[in-house]
Amino acid sequence: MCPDARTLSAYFDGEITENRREEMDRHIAECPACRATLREFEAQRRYLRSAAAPGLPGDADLDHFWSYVGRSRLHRVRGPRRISVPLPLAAAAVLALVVVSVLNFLPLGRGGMPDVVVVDSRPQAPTVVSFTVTPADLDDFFAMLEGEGAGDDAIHTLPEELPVARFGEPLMVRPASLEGAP
Amino acid sequence: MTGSLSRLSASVLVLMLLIAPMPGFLGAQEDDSDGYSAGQLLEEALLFSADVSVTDTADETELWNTLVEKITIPGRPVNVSLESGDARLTVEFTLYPTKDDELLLVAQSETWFGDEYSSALTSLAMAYRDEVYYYPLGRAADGSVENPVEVRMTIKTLPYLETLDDASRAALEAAIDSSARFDLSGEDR
Repeated sequence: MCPDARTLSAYFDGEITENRREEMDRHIAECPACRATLREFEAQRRYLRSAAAPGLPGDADLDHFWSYVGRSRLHRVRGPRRISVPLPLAAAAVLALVVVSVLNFLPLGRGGMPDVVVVDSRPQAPTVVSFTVTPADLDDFFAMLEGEGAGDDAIHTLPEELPVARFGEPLMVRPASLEGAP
Repeated sequence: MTGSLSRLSASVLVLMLLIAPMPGFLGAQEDDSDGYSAGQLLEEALLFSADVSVTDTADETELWNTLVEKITIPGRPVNVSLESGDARLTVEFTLYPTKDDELLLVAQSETWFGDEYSSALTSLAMAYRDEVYYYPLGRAADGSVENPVEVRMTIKTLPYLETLDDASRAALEAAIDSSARFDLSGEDR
């Protein structure tokens, strides 16, 4: 009975005991199929050892590759998997949260009086302050100039007894152009 | 080294993204982006006045009158609205500066007489301090209507600062002008 492929391969590589080897020597001497398999093993070995084998890395390249794989594996198996946050990023996030919190409590652009903007606050020097009016505050700014009771967009109601009628298209003229007109 | 730099860059980027949209940060107080200088607004401010009158054209009797005064700047509209029974008139006046240092007065009117609606756009170049007559419902000059009552708006525009007396103007400019300085250091000088 022929040995299986794994045993035959071990025999070919010299990895079996001496007693087992003597048995297989006797069998192979009488078995053309096993001899044919061993010839294939030999051909494959020659092929793999051939320097002219295209597309295959040399021993130095393989050593380098396995060294890289080894290092990579070391990284992967070192301790439990976890997420690390770089210290500068964590500090930036904390700083951003503080700034957001502070700015949320400042009355920037929320209607009412115009914003007061400090544009120069150097130590030992007078602080220059200027008023800046945001677009949202524009109405409030002009209302402040107009004073109380002025500047509203109220609808003016005419007395009901006035029979207002539409005569035609709107007309815009200078007074001088109406002189002499009926 | 490269990894540290990239992490630092990422940190700075995250910080900038979080803070940049906030008002008043990173130089966002430029006049043309986030707001207007109050001093510049005062220089450009206009006092727009519309003397609205309702006149009986048969004998030129003024039946009703009101004065609408608003402070604005070129490009910012001023609304004048009238109402009588089921009739309503709304006019949006906008002033635009021209190359000749004058103003283009644009009036966009909307009228409702019951269910009847109409709108019109009228414009006329005018100089500061000049008067312009605006008849939003047309003129009742052809005698085809009995007891015609005409609505007329006399429009006039002045630079706002010119309407103030010297003391008021100086006080306002001192309070708002960007050249005003305040010592907030708390030190006696």
